[in-house]
Amino acid sequence: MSSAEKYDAAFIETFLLEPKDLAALKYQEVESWDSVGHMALIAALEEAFAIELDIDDIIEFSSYEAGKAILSKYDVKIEPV
Amino acid sequence: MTGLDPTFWLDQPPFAMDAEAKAAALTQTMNALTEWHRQHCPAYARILDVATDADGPVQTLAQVPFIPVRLFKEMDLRSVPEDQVFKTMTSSGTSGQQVSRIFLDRETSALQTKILSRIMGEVIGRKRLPMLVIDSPSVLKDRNAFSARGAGILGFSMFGQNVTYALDDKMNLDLPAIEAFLDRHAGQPVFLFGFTFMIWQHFYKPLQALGQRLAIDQGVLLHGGGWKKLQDEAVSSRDFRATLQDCAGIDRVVNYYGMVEQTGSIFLECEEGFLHAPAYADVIVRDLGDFSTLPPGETGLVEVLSMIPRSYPGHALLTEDLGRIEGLDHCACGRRGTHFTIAGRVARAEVRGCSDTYEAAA
Amino acid sequence: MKPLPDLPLTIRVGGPLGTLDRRPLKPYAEPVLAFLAALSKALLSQAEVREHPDVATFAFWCRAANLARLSAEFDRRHARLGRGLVLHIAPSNVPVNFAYSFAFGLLAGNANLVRIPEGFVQVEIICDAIAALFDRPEHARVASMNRLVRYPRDDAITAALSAECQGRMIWGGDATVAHLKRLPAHPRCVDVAFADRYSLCLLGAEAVLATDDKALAELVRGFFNDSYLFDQNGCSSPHLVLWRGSDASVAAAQQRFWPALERVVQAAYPLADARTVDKFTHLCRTASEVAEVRSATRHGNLIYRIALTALPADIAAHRGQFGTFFEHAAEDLEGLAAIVTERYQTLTCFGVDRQEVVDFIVDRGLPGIDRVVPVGKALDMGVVWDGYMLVEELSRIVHSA
Repeated sequence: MSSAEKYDAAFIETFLLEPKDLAALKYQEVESWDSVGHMALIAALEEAFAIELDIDDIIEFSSYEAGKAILSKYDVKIEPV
Repeated sequence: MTGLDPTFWLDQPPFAMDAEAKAAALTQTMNALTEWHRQHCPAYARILDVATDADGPVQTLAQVPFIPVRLFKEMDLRSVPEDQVFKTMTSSGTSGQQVSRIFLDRETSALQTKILSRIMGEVIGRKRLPMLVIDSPSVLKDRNAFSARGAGILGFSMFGQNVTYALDDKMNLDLPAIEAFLDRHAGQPVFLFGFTFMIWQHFYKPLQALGQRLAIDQGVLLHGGGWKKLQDEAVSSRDFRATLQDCAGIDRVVNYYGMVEQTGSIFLECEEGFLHAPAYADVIVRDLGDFSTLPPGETGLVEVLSMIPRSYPGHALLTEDLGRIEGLDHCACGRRGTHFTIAGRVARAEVRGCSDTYEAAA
Repeated sequence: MKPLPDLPLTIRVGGPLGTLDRRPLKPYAEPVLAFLAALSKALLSQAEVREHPDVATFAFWCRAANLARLSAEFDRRHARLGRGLVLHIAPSNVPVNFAYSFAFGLLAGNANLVRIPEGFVQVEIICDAIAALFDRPEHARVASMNRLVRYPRDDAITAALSAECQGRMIWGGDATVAHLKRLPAHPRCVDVAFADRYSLCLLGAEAVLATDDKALAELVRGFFNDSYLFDQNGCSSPHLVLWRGSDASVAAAQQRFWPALERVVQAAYPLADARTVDKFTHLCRTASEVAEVRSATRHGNLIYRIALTALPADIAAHRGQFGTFFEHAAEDLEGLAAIVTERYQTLTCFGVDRQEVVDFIVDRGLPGIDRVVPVGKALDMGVVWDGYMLVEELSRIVHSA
């Protein structure tokens, strides 16, 4: 699986969404991405990429798009599929 | 003007004042009482200053500063010098629970009796009647520490003569004593008094078990003390009345609502099933969220007002009972004054936190 | 090692007591990390957990990445092993606390007996998840070492277990600690006792004034979580709010902070029961008993604020209830030095340099305050708690020289 596929899968499986909903996805804008969902997402991403996110990055992880930039700091490159 | 002087109130029949006139007069008395207690009870003065919105005389009964009735369980609040206290009443409570301590001087105690006698006139008339107390005389053994039960029995015994107890020292039905009492007063009106649950548990149930039916045809039964235990058994006020009529032939069963913290100004239940505020007292229902007043028909926390308390600051008390104002002045029973119903105790939620683990475990 | 005696316990998770394996592991051992990570994953994937942020927070805490971080930070200058068997007496009125206590015991390498509370769905969710993992072969070693149990308050049982334990985690305040310490324990038993504590909050007035709406919302949400989630009854929930700043800026900051908090409380803390009466009674009593009380501001019955003319030295004896806060303003930290006793646990801060506060505590040798954390983090449990490094406390050193 490519990084982009793993990245999308974490969102899709955590929030039970369709791939088409991902691009515009923001924290707190769908019911499932609340503060509890956020923890599940972070745990899923950490596992998928075998990384440990800093607290500040967990807090700043506010959208699907913003998350890509954050992961790049951990040498995870999310290229378009 | 109605101030601290109770004369005006003692001249009022209990259920004849119209709401507007009563509210105006009672507000004046409440203002006078608030000021009296502010000057004579330093702890109360601090509470007024800090915890209430009160700042001088108010315009309406709803604005009268109130304190929680629970406070009397946690603090000694007194508005007379200690040497003028001649009786200390305590609320009933199971062992381990804190009880209220209410300090009475002669003036307040006398006023309790006078006001209660005005209200009792509505129940039994102007004459004292032969009285059957549906309780055990052992409740009165310790005269120095009156429990609410003992104080209630003693207070109401004033309106009876030939006071007889229907239960023995062990709370068993004393049928011979009851029958002798009924023989002695055959054909006469008699007054029965007891606490709701005690009557149910120790009078009705044994009678039922014995298959015995009494014929107290001219009896008036006054009972109070709360419905909590009977609600657990799903017994309503209506069931209670029908049952007592059936097992003892009592036509008139009158429930009252009152508390040891405002002894004297009790609220009587009418034929329509509503509790009525007498002229000397009133009821306000407040929202649990902000203590704002609620209109008739809405359920909230019950506040009780009474013109009686002088030796302790108990003239405006927030209870822990939930209730609802049913109307003002226009009850079908013909009595004037605020009428209301009590829905029970406010729910006690489990308090969260990290203390008390091992001890609290079931 | 001889098996544990048979005792009249209800085993909620795990096999019979007699089969408990008490051989210790080293701290942060592989089987333990794998088990806790699996537990985290199992809980976070449950839809039901969404309704229980406390369970989710625990699950998030024991996720693989966080455990890896904790393990990396663990001091390995000495070889260490779990002490043996640890008995956990968990609070009966906080649902998830038992799970943290259990995890600390596990991470240190111990076998654990955890007395769990009754009557919380959160407890059942976590126990069910643990039980399911215990059934899997890859967690057999961890399963063999641990039991989650229930038993009524019974000194005979607690004493029998204490005699077998090398460590006890005693939650529940002064009364419980005093009571359990009277029961004879194994001579090598280490007690980690969590006594009654008192906590407070320090807010920088200028920083509160400088917040934009979003930052303010986060601040008051954090303060709400610290205070109201456990009815202000958690040992780290604040009872006193100290404002740092000039009188004018404090007054302005209060105007910004409290109404914002009121909106959160309004939405999230229904108070339509006897707590309202308790709260008002408490306010009246405080008014008459604490001479330094100047005035009270009531935001409905949601927030009671009690302004003080001066900080009484025994302010910690006057705890708030259900959202009742004492307030005082000061230009510097000196006031802290006058009031802090060993009872003080958590200082939550906003708009204040936390390192400056820590330095102040250490330089002045204050007898209390074990945690200085941002507002919103008061209830965050961790391996450092109440002034203890728990994994270190619950493991022993195998020294070689």
